[in-house]
Amino acid sequence: MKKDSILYKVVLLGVLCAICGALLAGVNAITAPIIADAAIANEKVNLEKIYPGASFTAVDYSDDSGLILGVYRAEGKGMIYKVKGVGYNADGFTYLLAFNEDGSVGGFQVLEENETAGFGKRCFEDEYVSQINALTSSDTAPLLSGATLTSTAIQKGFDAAKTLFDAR
Amino acid sequence: MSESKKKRGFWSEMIYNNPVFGLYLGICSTLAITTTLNNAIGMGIAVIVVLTISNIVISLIAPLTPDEIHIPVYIVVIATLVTVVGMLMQAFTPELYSTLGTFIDLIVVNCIILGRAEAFACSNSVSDSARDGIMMGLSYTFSLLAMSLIRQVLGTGLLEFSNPATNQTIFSLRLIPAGFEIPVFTTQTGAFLTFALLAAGVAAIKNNDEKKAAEAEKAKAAAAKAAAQATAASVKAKEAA
Repeated sequence: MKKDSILYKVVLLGVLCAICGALLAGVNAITAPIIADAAIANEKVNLEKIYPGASFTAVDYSDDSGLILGVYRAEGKGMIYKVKGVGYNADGFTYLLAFNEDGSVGGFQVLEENETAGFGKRCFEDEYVSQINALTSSDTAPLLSGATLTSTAIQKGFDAAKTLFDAR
Repeated sequence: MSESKKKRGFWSEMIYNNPVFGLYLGICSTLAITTTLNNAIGMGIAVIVVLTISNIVISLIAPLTPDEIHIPVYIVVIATLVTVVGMLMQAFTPELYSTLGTFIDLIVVNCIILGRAEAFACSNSVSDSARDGIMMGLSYTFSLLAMSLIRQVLGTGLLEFSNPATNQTIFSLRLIPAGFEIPVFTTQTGAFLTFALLAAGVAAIKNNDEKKAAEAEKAKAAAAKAAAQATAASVKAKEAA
């Protein structure tokens, strides 16, 4: 084949791209699982509290509310949403909210909070947590009198998570 | 631009053919990432790897490549290598990858890499190209280290280095007491200032060397003239005798 012919150039570029593509596919096959693991490495301990022993993967999401910090899929069990909210304490709080595959709440696990004891903190105590745990993805999270700011923030986060859950 | 390099030693090669301060290539990433020593080392290693392999591959395929499509061919090779290095860094040094961010991907358009492919690798042997890649990569890294050393020490007062994979601090030394650092050096302004000073320094060394070389030449010419005159005088004296 002549080096100046169009055919030669097309073939050369084609072959080169095929080789490069194969190389990239190979490297991606090796690194993709490691990258996926690294993405949830920091959260894994917390995710295990909701679905012990499940295999987790981080999920790409687009969230308009700005409250969702992360979305994780527990294979065969459900979805976990890492949510932030700002109640009385301006630093806010973060928690994990899980929906089982059937839409019922799979877990509500606070990660970080510094709300006032006896008021906002009641949102992370057993009574309110058991109310949340009894909900499904079609409900609205209840408000708690005396802890209006905190429970309102949780309600908003719950809505944001369930929007994502319904759209999944 | 680097044809005279074989005459010079390692360090003067670092200065004369320094891609950043000597040839003004690859300045964008240099200004952006030289805030810490860690960034500089990570970026430097990535560039050395990409540049060396791309030089080798390009010197191998250059004879097969028609002139009209050499740029697309080189860019495909370089982009592939950069993507591979980027994926490996994301997998094994995630902290470093997140600080260097897009600048890893931007190695593709780093003028040093395509510049060396065009100016050197495509017309030289594989071993020479590999050597050129390593040398150019090292002098790029050397420039990054010089920049980041100055910026980190003046900007944060700390001389610090940490493990790129785990982000654990390996070495930390406070050189400037807290409160006396100059934070502007961690910003882009500081980057430009540091760059200008170092580039001026390199230019000064070069000019000085050139002046010396010119003077030496002059002295040599003068000596030759004097010797010629002396011979002429002695010949005259002989004739007179």
